[in-house]
Amino acid sequence: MEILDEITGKDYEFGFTTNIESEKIPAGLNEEIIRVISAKKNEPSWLLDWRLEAFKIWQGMNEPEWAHVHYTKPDFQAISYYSAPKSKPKYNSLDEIDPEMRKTMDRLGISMDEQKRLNGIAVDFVMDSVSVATSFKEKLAELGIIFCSISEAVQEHGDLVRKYLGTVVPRTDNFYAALNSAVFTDGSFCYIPKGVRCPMELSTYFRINEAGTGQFERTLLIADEESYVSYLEGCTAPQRDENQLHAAVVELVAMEKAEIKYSTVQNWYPGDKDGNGGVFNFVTKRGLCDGYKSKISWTQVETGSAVTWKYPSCILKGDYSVGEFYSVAVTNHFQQADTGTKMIHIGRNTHSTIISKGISAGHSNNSYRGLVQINSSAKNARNFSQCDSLLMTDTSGAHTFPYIEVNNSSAQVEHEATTSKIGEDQIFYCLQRGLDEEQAISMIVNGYAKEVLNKLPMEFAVEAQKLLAISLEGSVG
Amino acid sequence: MERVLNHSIQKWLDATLAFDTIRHQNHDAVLASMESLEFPHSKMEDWKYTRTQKLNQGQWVLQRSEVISDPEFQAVSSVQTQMRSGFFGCLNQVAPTEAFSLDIAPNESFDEPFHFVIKSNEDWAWTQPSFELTLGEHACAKVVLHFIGKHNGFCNALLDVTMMEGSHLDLDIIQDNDDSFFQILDIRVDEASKSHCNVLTHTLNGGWTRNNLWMSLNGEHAHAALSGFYLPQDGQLVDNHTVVDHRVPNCTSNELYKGVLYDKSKGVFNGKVFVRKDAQKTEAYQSNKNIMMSDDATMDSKPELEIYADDVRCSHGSTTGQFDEEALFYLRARGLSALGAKQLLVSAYVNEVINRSNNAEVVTFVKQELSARGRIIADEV
Amino acid sequence: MIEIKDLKASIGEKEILKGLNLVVKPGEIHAIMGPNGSGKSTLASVLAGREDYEVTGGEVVFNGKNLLEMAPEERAREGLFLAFQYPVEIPGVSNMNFLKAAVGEVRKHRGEEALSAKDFLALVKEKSALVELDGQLAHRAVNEGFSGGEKKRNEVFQMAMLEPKLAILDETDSGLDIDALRIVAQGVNAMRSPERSFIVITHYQRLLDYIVPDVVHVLYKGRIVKTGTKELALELEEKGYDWIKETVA
Repeated sequence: MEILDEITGKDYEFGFTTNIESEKIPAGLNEEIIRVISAKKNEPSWLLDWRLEAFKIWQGMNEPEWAHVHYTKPDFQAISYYSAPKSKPKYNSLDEIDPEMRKTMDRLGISMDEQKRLNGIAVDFVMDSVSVATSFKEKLAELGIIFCSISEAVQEHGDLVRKYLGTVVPRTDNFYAALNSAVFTDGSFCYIPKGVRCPMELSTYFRINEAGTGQFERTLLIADEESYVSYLEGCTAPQRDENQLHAAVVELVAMEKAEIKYSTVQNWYPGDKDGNGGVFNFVTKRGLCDGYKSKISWTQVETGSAVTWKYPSCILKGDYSVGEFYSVAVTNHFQQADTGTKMIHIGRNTHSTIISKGISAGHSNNSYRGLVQINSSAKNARNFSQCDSLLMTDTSGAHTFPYIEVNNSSAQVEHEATTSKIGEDQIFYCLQRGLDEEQAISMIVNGYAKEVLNKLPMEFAVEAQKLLAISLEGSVG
Repeated sequence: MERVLNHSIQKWLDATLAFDTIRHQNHDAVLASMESLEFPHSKMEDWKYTRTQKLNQGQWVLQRSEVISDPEFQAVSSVQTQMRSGFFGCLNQVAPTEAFSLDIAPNESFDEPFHFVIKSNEDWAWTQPSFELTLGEHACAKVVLHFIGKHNGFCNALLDVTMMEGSHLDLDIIQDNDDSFFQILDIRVDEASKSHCNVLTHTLNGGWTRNNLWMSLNGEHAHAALSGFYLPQDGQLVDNHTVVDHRVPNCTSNELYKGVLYDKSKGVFNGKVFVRKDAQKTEAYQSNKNIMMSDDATMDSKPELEIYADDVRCSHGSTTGQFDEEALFYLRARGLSALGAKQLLVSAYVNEVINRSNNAEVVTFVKQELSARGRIIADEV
Repeated sequence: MIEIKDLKASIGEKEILKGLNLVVKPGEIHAIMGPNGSGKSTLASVLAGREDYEVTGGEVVFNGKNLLEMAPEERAREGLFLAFQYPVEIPGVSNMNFLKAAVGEVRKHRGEEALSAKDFLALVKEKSALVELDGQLAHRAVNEGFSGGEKKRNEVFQMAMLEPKLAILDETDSGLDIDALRIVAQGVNAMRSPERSFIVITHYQRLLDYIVPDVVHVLYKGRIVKTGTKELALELEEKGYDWIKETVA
């Protein structure tokens, strides 16, 4: 397979910066900065107090070190915590937005044009710190669905935000969640009313654009009784030499018989092939299955970021509630990923499924870390976990750290994991049938990850497949 | 020499001062390494699931154990075990209460097992036996360490095994302690090429048992087999921490730990398989299976893989659950009582582990002991 | 031997047996036939005491005792034997240990003395020959790695070992080739006696060529809708079950 050594990794396709004038506050983090952010966003006093309290909590915390990743810790005083495109901050429709930004969206291939609109995907676009535009808002409003930026939600649906913000991921949860709570600038908010099946995929695209900024978005999604929503999240960032910080918090609440399907294709800039630059992706995502027979399903395709620290989790509180986690994580070059999930079983007859597929190439390290906790109240709880790792090179690492905690006798928990090399006989078979090595690898890897890719909505699945192929180009040693 | 030690371990070291007849050859270095240690607590990843408070509160008095060996061995006065990083390993090395060293010369082969019975008989007795086992090239031996801890005692034992090329060892550990007894057993095995080591930990009983087993495969084509079973009841705790370190290519390891948890007992399994960067063609298999017999029992299982080589076949699995309802019904439909059916299944479940021992005497002994105590049904016919 | 009166049973919300009546006298062989889903296997499971099914009505008297109140093992010890349609594999439990335990319990219940190891082995040898079961199988784990035919022969072998009063054969013919079928039937026929009864549950008439029934019942939608002699089985074979469905409708 020597020929592959000659092929260098394909450049990051989305590594452009957008030339838009932006308003950015000075770097640094203190109470004053938080007051400035809150004031700029014209926030009610309860939210400012909430932020300040979070900041106090954060000051008393240490950056976690237990993950299987190594990096130079960010200097939190060197980051600017607010950067907004200076042009007209809010648009009535996507057609009105700044042509430069429009170009950005086009280059990202974001579903903005008419054709995609026909596909019926509602999009909220977050650039740096603020939400730029939300499509399909009116159509959704007819059904009583609220889909807007969280800043807008604070202004217009303050009660809802106040009721749920921080209930699934409390400010005390961890270092980055506390930081996010203090300084979050925007993100998406979504509320699906009782009995409503959201007729289209809701989607948010996040992009870090400005240099020296961090992105701290906050997403809050509430599915009321017997409602359904499928939510997509995509991310990109420009290519820069220094590391950028992304520390988001996502909170989901599913009430009785509600179902939330949350899909992510994470493609933050991973750094160059020598390991310079890239995004630090330190994210807290958690869903609460609050009601009877509620269901939350996380699907993620993780190909980007220099360092990923992310565990989309489910708290299965309602009886018969269901939690799912499907993940493909690809690391190449010097990327490091420590990702997995937590399934906390509290209610009776709760079920969870974990399917994790790790693929390690280059000099990267890819870890699955997961917790399955069966509380004594969770009679007849079931969990099945399958965590497979595929190694493409002898310089990469694949690790599995499952924590299984069982506290009652009616639970059944099964965990399986395998680690193996990509099959040379499989590659050879493909070559013999006339495919080139890249195609062969792409095909085999996609097959390996199929169980997870199948869980993605159609448009995303295609994108994810391409992304996998791109991420792994030139990866076999 | 003045040393600054964490206050949480100072009292433990003070309690060793009366004992200095046996010295570790690196005694000072061990002491020095303890400067960075503190008494294990649940915030440490290695002790996340195992409470140490009661052990720490004991009014322990360091004293000798009663060791009976067959064939008879003389205790030695100097210890050369490899330095440990954990607190209890170091503590043993600071003040071993007795030490035994067994050297099997190259090419020597023994059919009869070397059997050590290590007894502790008194309340608050704290013992720290130390063992060194060396097998020369192509040597072959069976060794049994049989711990019997009576009353409210604490045994902090340590064993080093060094295996030369082509040697073969069957090591059976039997832990048969009282309900109020604490035991820590720290074993380190180093295997040279083509050596083969089979370690089996039979935890028959004990109030609080923590086993650390580290097997390092240092030469190609070495094989490590490690297994254990535990049947804790009442408020007992059994914690097995294992590491299999594949340092070179072409080695194999096979690990199986099984538990049945009754009453308010707690089981912990933390198994780590390391495959180092150059350890290509490694085959490592690890499995932990648990049956929960009570709603008040707890099982924490953490099977880990850390792999830095690509051409490997590694897998692990962990299951925690109940016996197959269908099997139980089938047995009852043939006239077995619900309890009898469960016992039969427990026996089959545990026998899978016991039968991995190559020491027929131990297999017979352990099965007889367990069936005499009504824990399993002896297999006859 | 057994008297079933207006038996009703459901699984979950679904009622499967809807008032079933059946009387089997000592020494009789009753065949129960019926289309798929009519409740044949449910009947077998309910009689053996499988907990997945809830008995919602009716009664079953087995040798003068209330069968439905008994635990599965009490039923077995009282002499009710179910030859399973799908005998479960039990890894690690050897057939011999298992049988020794079962025979021991049943004999104890009957007030008989425990068998010596020697007598037990002699009995195993005698009974296993009855179903042409390889002696090796006895030393393997219960049903583990057995072929379909071996599993069914093992069921009949166990029946011979336990000497029940009433044996229920739940689709014992399914998945058997003609030779295995003959062997199984031969084992059953060797056990026929004036004190022992059989309920043979089957979908096909084929088995009844080998085990000739005294009475044939047709079970449909949870009730016995037709009862006749062995000629009824032949008629069903010829006309299929649609004929019955129409008659009932």
